Amino acid sequence: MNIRITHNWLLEYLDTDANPREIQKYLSLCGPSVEKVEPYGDDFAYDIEITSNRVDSASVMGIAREAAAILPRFGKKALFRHKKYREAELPVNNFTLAIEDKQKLSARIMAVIFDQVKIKDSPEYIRKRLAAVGVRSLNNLVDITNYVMIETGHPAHVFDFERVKTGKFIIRTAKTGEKLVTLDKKNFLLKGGEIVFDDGTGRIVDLPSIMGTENSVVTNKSQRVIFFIDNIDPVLVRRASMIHGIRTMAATYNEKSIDPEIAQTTFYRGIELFGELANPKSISRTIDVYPNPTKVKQLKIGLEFIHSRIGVRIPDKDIVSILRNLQFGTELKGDTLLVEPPSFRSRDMHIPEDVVEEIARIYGYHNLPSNLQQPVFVKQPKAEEKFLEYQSKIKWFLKHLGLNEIMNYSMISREAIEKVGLKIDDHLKIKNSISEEITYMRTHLGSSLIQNIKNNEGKRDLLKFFEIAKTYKPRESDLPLEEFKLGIATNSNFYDIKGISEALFRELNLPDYDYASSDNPLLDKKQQVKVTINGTKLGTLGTMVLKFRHLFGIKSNVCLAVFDFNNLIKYAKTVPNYKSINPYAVIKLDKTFQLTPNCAYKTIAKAANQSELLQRVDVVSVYQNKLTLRFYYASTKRNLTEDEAKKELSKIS
Amino acid sequence: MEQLNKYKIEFSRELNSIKSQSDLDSLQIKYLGRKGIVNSLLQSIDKLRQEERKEFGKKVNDLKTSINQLIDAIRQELLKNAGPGEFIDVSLPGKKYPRGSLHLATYAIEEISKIFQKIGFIRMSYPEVEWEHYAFDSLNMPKEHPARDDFETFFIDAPEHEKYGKMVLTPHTSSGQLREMQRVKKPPVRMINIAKCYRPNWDTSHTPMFHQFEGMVVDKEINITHLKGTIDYFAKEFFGAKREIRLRPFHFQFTEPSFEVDITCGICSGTGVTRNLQGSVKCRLCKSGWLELGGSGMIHPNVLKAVNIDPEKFSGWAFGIGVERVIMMKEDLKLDDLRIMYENDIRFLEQF
Repeated sequence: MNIRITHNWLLEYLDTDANPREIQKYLSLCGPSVEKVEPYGDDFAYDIEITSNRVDSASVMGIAREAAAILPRFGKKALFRHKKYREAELPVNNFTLAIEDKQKLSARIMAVIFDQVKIKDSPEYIRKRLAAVGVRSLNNLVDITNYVMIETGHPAHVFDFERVKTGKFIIRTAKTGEKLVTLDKKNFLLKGGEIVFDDGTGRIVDLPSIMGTENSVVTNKSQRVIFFIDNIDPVLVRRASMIHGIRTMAATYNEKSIDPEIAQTTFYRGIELFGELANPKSISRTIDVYPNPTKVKQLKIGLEFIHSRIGVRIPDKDIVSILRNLQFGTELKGDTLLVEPPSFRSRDMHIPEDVVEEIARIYGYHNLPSNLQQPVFVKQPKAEEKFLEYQSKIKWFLKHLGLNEIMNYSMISREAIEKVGLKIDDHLKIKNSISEEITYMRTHLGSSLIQNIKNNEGKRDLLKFFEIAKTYKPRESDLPLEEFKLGIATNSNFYDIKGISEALFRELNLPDYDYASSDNPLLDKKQQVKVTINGTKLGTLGTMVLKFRHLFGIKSNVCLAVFDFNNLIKYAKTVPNYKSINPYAVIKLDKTFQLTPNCAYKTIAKAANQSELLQRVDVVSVYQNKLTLRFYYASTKRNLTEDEAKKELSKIS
Repeated sequence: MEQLNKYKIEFSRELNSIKSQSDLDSLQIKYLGRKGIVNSLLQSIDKLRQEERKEFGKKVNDLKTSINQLIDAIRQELLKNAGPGEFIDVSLPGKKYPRGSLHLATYAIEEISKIFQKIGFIRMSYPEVEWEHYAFDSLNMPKEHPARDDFETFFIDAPEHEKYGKMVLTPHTSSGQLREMQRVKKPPVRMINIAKCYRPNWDTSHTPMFHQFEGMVVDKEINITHLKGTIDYFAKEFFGAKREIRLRPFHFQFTEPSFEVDITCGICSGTGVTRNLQGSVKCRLCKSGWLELGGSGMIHPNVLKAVNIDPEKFSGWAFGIGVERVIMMKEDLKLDDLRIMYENDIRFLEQF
């Protein structure tokens, strides 16, 4: 969370000679990060990031405490001013509140009832400071609650005592379907589980720690008011605030588990301000429901431990003074440090490492040297190494062939699954997705790649994409099977995608692979093949069925190849097997065939391969199903004559 | 014999009309080639009478020698006088070869892997769909931690595992910390884990899927200076030798102490100020000279204990940095919308 405070306000709690720029620089290095400091009238406004464990520092007082520990390390004077708040010198009235908390939802409730307050504008200094930190001034009563929150670090609220009617707060969780109207007049239907205040009649009179309700908030006519502080379950506060999108400052504070001891400071500072600014005629007795006061744990830490974790030896006296400046009770006994954190730090001081952090940060991380740890050998599993090596090789190879690498989201829409004829039930579903587009984990790269072709249609004539990514196949009571796939999609033709695939096989030096018939429903029955090596299926490639193309609204042809990455590289080799160079003449002969389902390239090549003299076959041309092939004949023992070669060729019909 | 004279004259005539090396090559083949005039004259020797043969042979050889000499002489002359070749438009582009492209993230991931490989880190990858146990519980993140709620993490609609909890999409690479420690069983650990991560945020500066890289060391006597040194090494290798890093206090559940890592801005060289014609102006990229790089810290003892590593004997550090973030910082990419990285528009892709 970020808070804003002003420089002059800070000086009320800090006696220092540091200027705003210095405060920004030094605090950012050793404590809360001061993201901005800018002039604001005759003052300066700070914008400060507070980490979630340090809500205790999210206030003028909190920043003053940090500054008092940090600035002296940079040679600046800085002392925290402990303030004593004036008690209200007012007659005591007999008004009271009954608080009931059977579900134990609150850690502390503090309240007091003022009678005959005067509602008016706040004095100028309050209005200016609130404006500087981004809070709208409403009237003195509401302003006091905001002012004390920013000054001391605990949200507070003010109710109209008369409008609560019963003088009773029952703290309970809401039932599903209950309704409330917040003070900004917005209607909310409760989901159940939100903490609410019930006035005893079932009427909800507050959404505590988040926002007041319209029916109990002070109005211009209010005279008898309750100054109220509640410290309730931070988890339930966050949940309700997030579910209903009510992200008030109060909620961002209260969801971070504030030390209830801070509530007390806030309370007495608030009473002081009510006395000064609202002219009450009387005050009630203090109501303080605080069943389990904060207990502080003492920590014992060896000096050696501190040095070993930080990596340099910080002088003992520095360690002690750093901790004392942070208001930690600190005693050094021999080599052991006894540390008692202040109450407001009790929630993030549990183990010695927590104290090490305090010492190291105030000493200054910038004062620590940079060292590389001793090198050691850690063996990378071979499979991992091979996968990464080939992934890189394949990506670069396909890039150099002219393909563009794609990275799609792993999550796809229901529509994207159905469009390619896959079953929704075969996919993992995200329970709390934020968009229909990203609801299921994909089990196939095809749908995304086809969509890539669709989205780019017309932007370039020729589209050739590839993607290497995981697919997620659900498994019974286990994590899904995450398998890497290589997908290729083009808007060219079957022979293009087959050519890309074969170029890749050559690059990987795959041994003899086979094409077998394949029945992927996404691909045209007559224009698809399955690639296998020794019975291992590498993948399928082919032309997309017209019907599916239409579903995607693509005008051009679409070809798709999907390979199982691990099978693809299973037989890959860096260097192929060496074949000795044949010194004898090679006779090249061309022959043309009429292609039919029974006389395909595969059958011709198979027949030609019966000859021991055949070295190689090349496709010269294909035109209207007339295939011209070039056959290379040679003997490894002597020069072949043309007649001998022709005789071999004639055996192929 | 007349025949010989006739060829002599004809050769001289043809020689005079030679204009180029290739004319000369043709002439040489015509007279001296395997099936050339000289050879056919030599073959015709059989038809002569015995007594004529000797003289004829000598004359043919003389002819051959003089042809050779003349051709050589002309060849030398042609070479000497060789002027420029024919006109071609050298400003025309050359033959076009395909180029293709890789995704920006691929370049960054490969570079990051190499940088860490050089100091003995092994790259590993772990599940992207993971149990809460690895993503949160073992990382010291209690059940009610805000990062575990619906607004920060994607949950899978699957039955809960009785021991490992709900199934989630990894919101960070840190779940790999536990997996790697479990794999090696005993330190040392030197790992870099680069993977896809997922969070329910989708706007101009967030994509629901992104990449992180996680560095991790567990060993004896590991301290803060080692974390600082390693990130400093990375920053200088990846961004340039002049870059500096700093650690600032921060908070993460799975590290103690925790730091935010900043790096000096490359635009203003860490000064926060750039110069233009009007004088000095505030740097447009950074906050007073520094840019946030990522989160890091010393591994929390509870995390080590979760995988049965004794925090009394071993300590370690870890960091997690966004890949997309370092790409934008390194290349000074001015993307006003990060989502373009995963929209896969060819006009974007083909630029890289």
